[in-house]
Amino acid sequence: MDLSRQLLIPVTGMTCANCVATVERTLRKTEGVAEASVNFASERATVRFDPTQVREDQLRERIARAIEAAGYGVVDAAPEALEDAEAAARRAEIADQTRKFWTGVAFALPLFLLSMARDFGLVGHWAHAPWVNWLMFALATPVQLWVGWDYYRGGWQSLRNGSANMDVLVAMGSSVAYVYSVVVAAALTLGSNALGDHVYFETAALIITLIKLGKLLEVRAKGETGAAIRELMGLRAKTARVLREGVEVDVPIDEVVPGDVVLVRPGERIPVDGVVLDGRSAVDESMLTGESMPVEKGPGDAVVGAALNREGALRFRATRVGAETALAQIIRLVQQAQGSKAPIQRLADRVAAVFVPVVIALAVGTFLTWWLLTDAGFTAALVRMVAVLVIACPCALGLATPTAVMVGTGRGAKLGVLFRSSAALERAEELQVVVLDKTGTVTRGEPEVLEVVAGPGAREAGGASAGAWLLGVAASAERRSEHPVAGAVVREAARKGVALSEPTEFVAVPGRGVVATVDGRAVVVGSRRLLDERGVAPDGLDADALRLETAARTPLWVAVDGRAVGLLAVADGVKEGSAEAVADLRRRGLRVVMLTGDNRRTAETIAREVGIDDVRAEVLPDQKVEVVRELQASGAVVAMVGDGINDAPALAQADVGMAIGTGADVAMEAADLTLMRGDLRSVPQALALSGATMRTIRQNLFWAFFYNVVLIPVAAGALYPVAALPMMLRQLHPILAALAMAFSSVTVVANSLRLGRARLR
Amino acid sequence: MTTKTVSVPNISCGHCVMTIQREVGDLKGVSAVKADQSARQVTVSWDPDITDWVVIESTLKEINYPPVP
Repeated sequence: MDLSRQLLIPVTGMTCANCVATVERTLRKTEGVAEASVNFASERATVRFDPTQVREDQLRERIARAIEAAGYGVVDAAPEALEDAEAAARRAEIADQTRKFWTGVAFALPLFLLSMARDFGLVGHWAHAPWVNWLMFALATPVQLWVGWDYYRGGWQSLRNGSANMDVLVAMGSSVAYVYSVVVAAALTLGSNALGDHVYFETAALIITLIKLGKLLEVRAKGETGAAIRELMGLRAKTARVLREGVEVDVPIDEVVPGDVVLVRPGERIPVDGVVLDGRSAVDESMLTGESMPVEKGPGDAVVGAALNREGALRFRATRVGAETALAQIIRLVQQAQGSKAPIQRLADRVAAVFVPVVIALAVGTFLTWWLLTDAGFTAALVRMVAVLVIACPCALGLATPTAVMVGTGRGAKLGVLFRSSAALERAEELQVVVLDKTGTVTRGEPEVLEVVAGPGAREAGGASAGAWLLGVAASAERRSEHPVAGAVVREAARKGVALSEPTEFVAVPGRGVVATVDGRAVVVGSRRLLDERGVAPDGLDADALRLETAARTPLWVAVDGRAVGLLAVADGVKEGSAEAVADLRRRGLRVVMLTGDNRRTAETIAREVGIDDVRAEVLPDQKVEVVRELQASGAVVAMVGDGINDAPALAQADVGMAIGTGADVAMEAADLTLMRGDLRSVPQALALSGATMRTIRQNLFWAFFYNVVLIPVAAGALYPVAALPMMLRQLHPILAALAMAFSSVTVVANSLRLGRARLR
Repeated sequence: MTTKTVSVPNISCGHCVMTIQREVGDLKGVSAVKADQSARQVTVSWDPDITDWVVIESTLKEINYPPVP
């Protein structure tokens, strides 16, 4: 059976792991489906089927019916539209949180002012009338039930998973304050003040509103994961020129079938994968392979879709189309990597997981102590328990992470380190392994002249400045050529200030070099093969050429009037700062690994230059993500630094993906942060910034809890027996709760702002 | 008519309830099946002349909701 084809079906409505099993079973029972697997995180089902048994559109319809019958939904849309839906959902989320935050402000602010004015006696006696409590109730209720609804939902989900997160703490603290206040207000209206006369409506409303501000900052900082996929989709050619019954026709890319003969002109994208039938050209595959040098293609060579055809026209036979092309595979790898990435537990939630049970235990302990061990009575004991629960909910907790992250990302932007996800900023501190892509990351990603070897001929003609003379001759001959190597030679000449002449004749020999006439002399610049073809003798330069090759540099031969006069060593050189960055990372105790598709010799030469001893060479583009996964499987927190489209899956898979800002857009979209300066020294800087941010978050958490924790004994009534103290400290007064909130919020925000000037280590 | 209530810890959402009720309800001889999400229990009534608990139990196992004793 031929199971070569597969469908990717977006499934909605799955809420748990059992749902995955149910959907898989439903799919397997569907006629025509050979294999099915469902990814819960990415909400996608992958179905393999035999195209000889069933048509794709038929199968899609059948699957949609079966999935809907099982109680789930199928999104009937092209993947592009689906990603747009993600962006729309994100916009809707931001709009929702914004609306809720401002609603909270609109109700909580007057409530807070009214309550403060009353507590400090700034308004008349009317403020103590029972109806004022009901006015406060009216102001607090929309905040509690509408603005605060997300905490109930989030808290419930967290409790069902058997842990208490920040939502639980917020829902618990605000609900206790709110419900208790309602009961007190009712009792006061009925004429009883057995429960005291303090209401905590403003405490509840303020907690919810302030934490909502934190959530709003957070959703706005959250990066879109769909953008990488959209960028990748955009690389696909829309149409292809194919031969149909001997006639050239433009067809939509989806209608190209394996076996079609496809034509590509210079400057066009290659539409699908295939094997060249005839024609000769240099093809820029850098986006897929990461290698900057154009690859020469002739009959029999494989070409990949989305690569750019540079020089000549090509005719090739399509071998892989649609979902089987190399580009489609990269898209799938990125999707899988994004889908399989486990969400990290935020620090604030980890703290809450410990804090919540402790607070509950303290509250219950308070109640039992007062009720059973003293003669305070049941009601007074209950009031103290409520006071403990109310005071324990730190409303600055919601600001601790987002404000630090906001200042941290702002500081990063000034340093040229753009964080797309705040989770990455938290995670970068824990990194143990940094994986570096070679081309374009450790190296410049484009050839440059690293050495000029002047032969006897050059020394005769140029004397002491033989090197400059040689460079001048070569650059003059090359200045009309479009080839990247020619560009490197011309740039080097300009850098050394060598004057160039205009060639009178110029011929580019594809894949070999150039032949030109400069100042009346016949100049040949190119490979050894070109010199052989022109009958030029190496003139004793063979030993130098061999030495350069051993050092992983490509020797570019220069001949004048039939005599080899020198060599230019061309290679993709190490970027400024790479070695320094590697040393810095190692000093921080990180393991540094270099990853490349290039051959071992070149890879090891570069690695030696920058001081890396762990080198993975000759890694195929789709294996990069595997290397990252292997390192992660060994328990390490892994960063990947890369610049190419082929790095995108690994960038998405890594715990922290860092893209070089001069690289492909796709890489930046797949990564968690972008190094805008384009050099590796930004990596240790990003780590230092992450460390500083995390330190700030920890301090913030401390201050968020500090005032509240200090007041817990007060709330519990520990000071009650000390008759010399003012009543406010013997029994929790709402003013204390409000002051704790105000002080902790101000401290947290001020501490976060300090991060903007902190020294980065 | 025989009725039996078993504990199924795997029930975690509304979809699970639906799946169990549909799959077990489709069995011949089963007259009523009720799955409870919060109690994580399934109650099945069946005609002992037509089917048998072993069949029902194996169906629950097959759909990934094995009952525990």
